[in-house]
Amino acid sequence: MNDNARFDARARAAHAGSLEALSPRVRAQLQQRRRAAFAAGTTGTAGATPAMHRRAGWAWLGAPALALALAFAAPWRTAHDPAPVLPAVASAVAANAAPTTLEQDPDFYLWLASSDAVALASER
Amino acid sequence: MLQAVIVPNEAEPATTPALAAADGPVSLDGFLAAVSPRAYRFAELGLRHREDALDAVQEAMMRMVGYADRPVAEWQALFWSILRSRVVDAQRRRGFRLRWLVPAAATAEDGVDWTDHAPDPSRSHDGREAWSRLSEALEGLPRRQREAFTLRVLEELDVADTARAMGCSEGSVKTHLSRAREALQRKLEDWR
Repeated sequence: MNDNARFDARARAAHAGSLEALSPRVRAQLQQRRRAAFAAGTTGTAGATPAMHRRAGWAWLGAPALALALAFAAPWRTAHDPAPVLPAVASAVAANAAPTTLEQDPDFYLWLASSDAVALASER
Repeated sequence: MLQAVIVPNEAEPATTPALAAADGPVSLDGFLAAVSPRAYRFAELGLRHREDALDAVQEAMMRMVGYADRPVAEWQALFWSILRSRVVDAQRRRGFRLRWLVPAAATAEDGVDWTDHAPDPSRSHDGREAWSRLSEALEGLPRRQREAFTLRVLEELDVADTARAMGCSEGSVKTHLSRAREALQRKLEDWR
């Protein structure tokens, strides 16, 4: 028997000893979880391990916390950090804003009432 | 060709790893009952945590039930492939887990599960010592080397099944195994 074979045999023996020494608690857990796996498989349900339940629990706890954080963060962001405006949106906003600016400009009305405006209108 | 039967039973788990080679009808439940203690030790080596290891084994069994219609000869490689990926996933999840959020009871369960059943205390102590040394040495190996040694030597899968379980070529299995043996033999010199 060469070194590798001897070493492998020793490792297998240690492993076999570890399998015999599994605690009754772990054995019972394995049996219970095997039944749960079959129950989930045969009923067509998704089934879930305790770890999945824990992760789902954290998700349920995390969702309201995230919503709360967003609720607080959104007004703060609006007040302190105006969102960047895309060029297309900016031009649309400018186009909509132009009439308002003219309406509120007294010089425009003065010019409209002047003879220049009448002359310009008659030329066309 | 062996016949696959998906019938849960309460029979005492068999201890032979190569169930696929058994004669007669083989139930998936019988296969999982036999392989689950071995699967637990495999997961325990990778995760060092009882509940995490049990969860990984259960997830692998749940997935395996979905593959019950596969030929019995494929079960070994398929099961170990699923379990291996479950363990890797658990390791990654644990990397993100904030340790302070883990209950104290869970951290107290870290380590190797061991109960002395042997009538001779000294023999039992030797067994525990041997497994502790081997598991610590395995823990120190890179993951792929540990998987190759565990599946090929401890689980006695052939090279082709080990390659399927590890998702790599047979040549890679041989390379990983050779490096694993070399590293382990350096740490456990008296075992040669």
